[in-house]
Amino acid sequence: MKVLLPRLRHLSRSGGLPCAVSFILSPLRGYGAVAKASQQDAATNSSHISILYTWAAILAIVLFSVVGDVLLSHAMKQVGDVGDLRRRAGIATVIARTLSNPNFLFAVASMAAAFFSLLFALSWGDVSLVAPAAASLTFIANAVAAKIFLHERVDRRRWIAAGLVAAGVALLAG
Amino acid sequence: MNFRKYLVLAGVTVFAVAGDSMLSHGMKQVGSISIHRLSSVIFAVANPWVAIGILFLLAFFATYTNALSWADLTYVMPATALGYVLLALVARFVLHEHISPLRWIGIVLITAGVGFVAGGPALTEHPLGEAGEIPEKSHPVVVASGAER
Repeated sequence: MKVLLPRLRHLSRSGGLPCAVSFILSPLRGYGAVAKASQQDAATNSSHISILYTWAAILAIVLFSVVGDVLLSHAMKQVGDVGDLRRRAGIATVIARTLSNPNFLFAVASMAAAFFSLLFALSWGDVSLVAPAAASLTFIANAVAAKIFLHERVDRRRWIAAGLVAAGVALLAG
Repeated sequence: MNFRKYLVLAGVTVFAVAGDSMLSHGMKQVGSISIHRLSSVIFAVANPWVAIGILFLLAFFATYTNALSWADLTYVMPATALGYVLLALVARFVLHEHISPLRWIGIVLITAGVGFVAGGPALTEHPLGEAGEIPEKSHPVVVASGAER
């Protein structure tokens, strides 16, 4: 952030809004844009920035996935047990009730955002860093978020499980 | 937990792995997509592997939402992680790839984690104070009136 802030301030002073927008959209052009933005910097500085970008994108993946998972879980608890509901009211009711749930729609939007963050992260960083880091951080963050927002009883058993799974995923995908 | 629910959890695991693998295989056939012509990603759907992979991922999403309708998020999550184990085992025994000792440790850790969660209850029983948020679960009366209609 320390590197980015002065640059953003410089952009907003010299180029105004269009320039700032192009800076924000620069991830869309991938790694090339990052390299271009740091033309005057030393080569080491540019690799620092790409590491920074990668981790920012990883955090974005984790954030959007957690929001998506929590909202989806909340939405489906509101809908109720899908199996029971289908037996009572038919599959059409299940689909209608799920798709008309605003939390479900926000969850899908958030998961889509997580997917695009993943694409950005992969364009800056190695898949061997991005995939395990994002997956294992998501496991831990999901456990925390489920406890806080969904009031799930995350007992010691589930904490241990989340930790083991996160470590395992990091080892397996790394 | 009954047989149907275990079947749904198995579906979450298998569909995610199958979808991801097919998508990955298909996208390697399609080749890398230029960052300047992102719209060309649409034509990747023409690849049969990509198309079937997307179908499997839709099936994954359906089973995942199904599972979340009767189980806690912290209960379903480890089930999805079991997919990584499945993927590694397929790589080892079907594709005959080498798996490093570190990855075997990862497999053991994930399996242990899943075992930990599977031994506990699937759903947190919420007290009446939160009944308004989860009407179907907390009010059997609603279920009964629904059945009468």
